[in-house]
Amino acid sequence: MSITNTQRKASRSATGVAAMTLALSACGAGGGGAEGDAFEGEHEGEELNILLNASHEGAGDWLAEQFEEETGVTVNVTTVPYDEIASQLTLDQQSGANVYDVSAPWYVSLGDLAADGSIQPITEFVEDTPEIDVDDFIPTIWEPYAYVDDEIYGLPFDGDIHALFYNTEILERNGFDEPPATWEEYAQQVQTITENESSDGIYGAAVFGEQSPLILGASFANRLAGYGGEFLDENGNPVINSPEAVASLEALEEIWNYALPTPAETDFGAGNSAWFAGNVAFIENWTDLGVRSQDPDSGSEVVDQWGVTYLPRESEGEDPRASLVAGFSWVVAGNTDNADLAQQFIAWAASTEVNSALLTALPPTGIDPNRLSSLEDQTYASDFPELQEVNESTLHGALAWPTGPNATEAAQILTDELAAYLSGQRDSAQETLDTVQSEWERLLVD
Amino acid sequence: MSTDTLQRAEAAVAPPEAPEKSQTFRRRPRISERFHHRLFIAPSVLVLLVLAAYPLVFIASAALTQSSLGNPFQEFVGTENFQTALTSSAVQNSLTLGTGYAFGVAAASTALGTATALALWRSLRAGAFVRTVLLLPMIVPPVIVGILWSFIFSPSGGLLDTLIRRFTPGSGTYAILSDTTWAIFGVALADVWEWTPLVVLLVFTALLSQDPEITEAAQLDGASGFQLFRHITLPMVAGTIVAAFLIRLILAFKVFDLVYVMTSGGPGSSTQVPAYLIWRSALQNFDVGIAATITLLLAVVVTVVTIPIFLITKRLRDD
Amino acid sequence: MTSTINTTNAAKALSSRRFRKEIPQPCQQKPSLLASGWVLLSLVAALVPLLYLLSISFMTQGQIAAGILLPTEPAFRNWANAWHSPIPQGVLNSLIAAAGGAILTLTFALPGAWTIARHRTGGKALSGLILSPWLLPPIVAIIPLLTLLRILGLTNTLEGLTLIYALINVPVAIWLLDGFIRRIPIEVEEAGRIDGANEWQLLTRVVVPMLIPALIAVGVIVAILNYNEFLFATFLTQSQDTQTVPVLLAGMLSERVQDFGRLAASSLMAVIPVFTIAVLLQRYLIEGLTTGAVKQ
Repeated sequence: MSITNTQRKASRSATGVAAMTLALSACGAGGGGAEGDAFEGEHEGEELNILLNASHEGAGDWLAEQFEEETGVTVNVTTVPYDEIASQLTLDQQSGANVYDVSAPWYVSLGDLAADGSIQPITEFVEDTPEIDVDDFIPTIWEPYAYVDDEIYGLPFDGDIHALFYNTEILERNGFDEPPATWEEYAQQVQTITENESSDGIYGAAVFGEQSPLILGASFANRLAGYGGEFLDENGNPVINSPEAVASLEALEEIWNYALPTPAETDFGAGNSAWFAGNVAFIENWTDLGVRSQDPDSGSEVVDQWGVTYLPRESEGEDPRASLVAGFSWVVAGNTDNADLAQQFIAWAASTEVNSALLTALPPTGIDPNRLSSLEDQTYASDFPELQEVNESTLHGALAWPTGPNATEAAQILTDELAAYLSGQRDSAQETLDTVQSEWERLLVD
Repeated sequence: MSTDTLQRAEAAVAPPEAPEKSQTFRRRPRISERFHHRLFIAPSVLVLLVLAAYPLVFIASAALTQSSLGNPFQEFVGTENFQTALTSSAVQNSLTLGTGYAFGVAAASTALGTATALALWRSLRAGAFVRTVLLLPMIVPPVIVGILWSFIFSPSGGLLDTLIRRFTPGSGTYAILSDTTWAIFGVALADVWEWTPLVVLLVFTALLSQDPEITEAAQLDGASGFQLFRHITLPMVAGTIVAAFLIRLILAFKVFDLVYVMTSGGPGSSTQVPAYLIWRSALQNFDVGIAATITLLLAVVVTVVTIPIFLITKRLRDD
Repeated sequence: MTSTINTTNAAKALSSRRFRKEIPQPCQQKPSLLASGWVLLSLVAALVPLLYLLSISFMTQGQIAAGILLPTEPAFRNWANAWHSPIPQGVLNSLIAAAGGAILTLTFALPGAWTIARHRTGGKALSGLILSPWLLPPIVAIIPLLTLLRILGLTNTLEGLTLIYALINVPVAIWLLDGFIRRIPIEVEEAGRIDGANEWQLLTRVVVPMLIPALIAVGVIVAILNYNEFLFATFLTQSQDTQTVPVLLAGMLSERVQDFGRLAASSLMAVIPVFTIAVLLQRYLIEGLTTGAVKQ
């Protein structure tokens, strides 16, 4: 074959090695080593090509090195921007190049990938492999991350929920002792801080508003989760023009002009940079932001000046509700000629031991818990107690995007309409979401 | 259709230098010559087949079927894709936006480029340095042009924002690329910056190659200044200017990289030019059928709007 | 009339003898102040954005956000970071694909261009069709082209990308070469024929030597088009050791932490090779033409 991928070696900083040793001992103690032994040598000398999104580069390097050590299989990691992973995988499979054996796309694209034959069902494998321990996956994550209709296509990789990070110094300066519990309080605090400090370049919040489902879509989904809304009802019919959804969009609009300028251009880079520079009081982000915030080497100026809490809700006292905004699943490519090895790899990569090790690995991998057992992992609990607490919100219930065929386009249409409304191209939130509703009915109900 | 237009445009852009008569004077080619000619032309024909015919067949087939990215040609749907596309406000808006953008950008580039070429021509200091500098924007990769202008338009510390704040303290933030009205002008400015030098080069070369005898003769006849320019110089380069406009128009119709880097089609759909919409339909939404349909509709639009310009080019040349 | 309008294209503008010869006295009118002012203004317009990029490449993220226009103390770290990133490899990949593609393009295009210009083989239809692929955005064509590369076993390789570049620019190269070929006095070719040269010999021994400056000029233009190409490269080269520099730069835009300084330094690193080549070859082209094969 004419693949010229090279393996990417993880950077072997001192901390990296230390984390590795830790992870290895965890494997031995937890019995995960046994799973490795089961197929050790069986595929030795073979190659496995995996396609990941660029923000999983660190995790990919870690996995490649670890898997090679345990099994003698060479793992080649290719990374592409997060919004290209599904199209790259599809083109690879459709053209017949079939370079990739394994990938980890956004769970929302599973339905489209399955419909095009770009990924293959693994139901049988999962049912025949009790070690996978399906019941240990966090229930709210398992369903959307694994299933397309009744077939299993994916294993949860990166739980990826958002939490609300706040800058304690900015809050104190403006007389707020507590982070907000409701979206209304949040809006008030954002507004106050921006009014007080925007002349010094400090804003109430960085709001991810760039027109991408994973960015603006996530900001909306965080609010929809808080207001108790849903994308689909229990019969799978769209309910995107519900009162909760309208309230969510209006909540986003309310802070739009008080956020770091300008939300429509705020992508991960712009928002995170403002957070690390200490220029924003709030940011909704993945929990690994906390790990980076404590790391002055990565340019953080907010070490020990931040806190993290659940995403706000509609009214005080409600249980926290997670919003599965990003979230990635391990999948086996449709035309791989090494499905057996690919399945072994994803089972290993989705295991408790690996997930737990990735949670606390340094440099940070950005991976969130996918299992009950890794969520309760002791190292995680002692290193990052706040993050663990926040991630526990997935136990109470979670809002997941629609999956299944056309789900990617549905997410895109919603994002477009949200952006159109927020930039003043639509008359009312209700009307905007009515449009989305009718488009979704066309796309998702057939 | 479009190809024919281009053939004529091509003729307008590159008028034959060698007088036609020397070409018509030719022996009847021998067999071996004809064999050679066919051999020589074979790679070009092959390229056309691979690059034009094959994708065109693919696009046409995709437009007439339900086609996804991973699974093209699922079932024949006739004109359903065309009906969907033609009634879709996103497609209509995109084609309108693309046409307006192309004309605006082409007109601005041509006007500025012609003015600069004339200025260079009238200026003694048009040395090698000037020409090299004017070349630079044209050879910067469009991705970098997009990055560069995103920096300039950045609301937090960008060049434009900083300058405005410096001269009018206390003013608000200027975020051109997140304004539904102004974003497309931001992209257009980057586009004009990048490609105007091409127009300068084309027109300047045409100005330099004017026959000095004609100018001298006109001067002897008492023509001077503006008159000379209006009646001698301008008609001589008019064909080039229109041809440059046409090239610029087609480049602007195809704009993708700048939009991809600077605005991702937003805010809302305010910079969703046709190429970006096609890319999104095919590679983000996996709907290759619609993407192919929009490509064909764009082909029609490009053909229809370029025909009048071509006719002008032709008239200018034939005069 | 036709012979006086030497309008054409960038290639000929770059290489025209007149370009150089007539510079000292572009026209008989006296230079105007307005004209010089306008030239100066356009120089500023062309240069300021590039200089701003240079300035950003020496700033820290904090300085950029603070709206500083010139770094008080230059931060060289951005350049070091860019150097120790995949960018240099990407520049190298881009250069290989650009140059390889350009050489192949010329090889494919020259015989065709000469035959079309001189003998009208293929008739009007062919010369009309030749540029048609250039008219439309090539996005949907990516899918069939990927299949083609798979058949050749060249997916995700620099060779595959080079081949695609070689193909997509053949029409443009034919179009650009046409003007040059028509400028060769037909008598030279006729003389070759009378001396008994067959068409192949005529092409390789008579036409090619006379076209060398043109080939360089067209080659440089095509190479720059290749170097700047983004869309195909995104989908044809995914692995790190084949990615070209526009793909790497676009990838940096979606990074989770913004580093404008490094992005600016990386962009400039990508631009330096093209600027150098353009500046060097501009001089070479003009000089080569005044002393080269076309001089009769």
